[in-house]
Amino acid sequence: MRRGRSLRATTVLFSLLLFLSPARASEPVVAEQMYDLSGTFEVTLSPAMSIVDKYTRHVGISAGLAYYFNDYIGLEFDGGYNFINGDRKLLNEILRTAQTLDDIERLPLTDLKHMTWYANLGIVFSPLYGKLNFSAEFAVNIHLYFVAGAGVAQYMYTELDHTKSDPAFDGRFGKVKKTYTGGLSDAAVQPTFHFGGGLRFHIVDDWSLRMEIRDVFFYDDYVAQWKPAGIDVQEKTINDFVHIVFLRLGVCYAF
Amino acid sequence: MKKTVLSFLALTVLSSGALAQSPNERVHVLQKRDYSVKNKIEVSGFFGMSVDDIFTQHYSGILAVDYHIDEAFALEFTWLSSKIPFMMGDKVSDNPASYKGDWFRMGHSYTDAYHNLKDDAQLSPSNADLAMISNYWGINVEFSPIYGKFSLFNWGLARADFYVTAGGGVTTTEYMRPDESWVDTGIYFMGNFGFGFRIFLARWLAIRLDMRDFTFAAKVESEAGATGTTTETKIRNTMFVMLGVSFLFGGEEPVEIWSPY
Repeated sequence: MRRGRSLRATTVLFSLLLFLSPARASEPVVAEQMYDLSGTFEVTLSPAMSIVDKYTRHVGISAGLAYYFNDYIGLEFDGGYNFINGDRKLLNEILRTAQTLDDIERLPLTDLKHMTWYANLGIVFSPLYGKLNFSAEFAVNIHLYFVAGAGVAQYMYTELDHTKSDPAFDGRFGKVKKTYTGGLSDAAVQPTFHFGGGLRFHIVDDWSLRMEIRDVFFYDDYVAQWKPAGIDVQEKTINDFVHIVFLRLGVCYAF
Repeated sequence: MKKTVLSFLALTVLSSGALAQSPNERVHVLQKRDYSVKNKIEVSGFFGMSVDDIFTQHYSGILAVDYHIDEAFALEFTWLSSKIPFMMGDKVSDNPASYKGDWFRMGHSYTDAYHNLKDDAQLSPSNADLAMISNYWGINVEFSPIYGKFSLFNWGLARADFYVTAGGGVTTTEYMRPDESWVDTGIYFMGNFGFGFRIFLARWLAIRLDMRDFTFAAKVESEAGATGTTTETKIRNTMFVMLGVSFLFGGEEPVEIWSPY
């Protein structure tokens, strides 16, 4: 999707900028690296919410355990649950004014799936360490990092139910949540992939804050319905990658 | 939601302000500020694109001129353009508010999600969700509280200024009707806020990357009902990513300040 391409282009731009930064071999690099991740385990608790949403929204929490082989590379397992997941108000507005939904149950729209729970295994790559001078008084030590990996997740979506009469849709139909069972696995649990990046702000030796943007996606193979001639309902298969972009704000303890 | 996110970001940065560990830290926590912007004029050219609109996609050219009052504060004039200003095209005879013509609207397009909604699902969003920024002229105040040094794999050093910015100005917006004619919605106030950084390549040259959220009131025709066409107003947010090059003129040579760090 074009919006997905924009996001990916943005990520590439950020990465390019960071890697094109001028290096000066004749000068010392950042002096006295105060925080080193080498050989540490780390537990993370991260509230998360979806951003740049299309038709769905998510708010949830995740917990993770990571091991860092050195200051640059780590392996992380994390899992979480989105206690708020569902359709955005925008989709309801569009459905309320629609005049062509008679007999259609499964909407032929991409990115309708919302994630309930998930578990991921991924690599954490931290190529950049820095010090920020905040108002010329405080030093903030940071790591910039990237994540990539794979996992499993369960997704749900809403179907229209014409036996229901929801006042939100002027009594013409209602909505019902269903577990999604298509995709690569053809089961209720989907294989997912993720990539992203973020900043780690070191607070004291063992504690840090992580701010991260992560795109989680899966392959959607969804048999929807539409009315090509405006009268008869026909099936239409939608093949697409469903992307959900999360902003995660984590508290980390290293040991 | 975006306000919550930005508040949390600010809180995160402030709360992590740590923690220089020397008794002399009040000298300055980073040594040798090599790049100074005080009293400099900065002329920047950006390419920008919207990244969070569901149905609309902007591609824009942006010109910015900053005057840096000191190392931390600057005033910026911004002109953002997705369309050649004041060109509207040919009037549509049955609707004096509509115009035909595309070549000067090269920065306006609708996303695959819009075409999926319109063509496959035969649904349509509100006209307010289809309004796009054509031109914007405004003034921003920029605050740069953070100056940083970074090492990549401990190989080399880069220096950057991080800043937050907020301001407002006037904008023109347009949207496309189902018959593919364009409707000019007039001139309105538009506010914006955002953040970004500049990486110094030389004392006169920098690369800038900005994220800006533009907020405007999309005032459009709603669906024709029993009482005829009515006007609908919806507050819209459009997030832009802007990548640009800056040239800095004038100003002072940087002063080297040493600390134990």
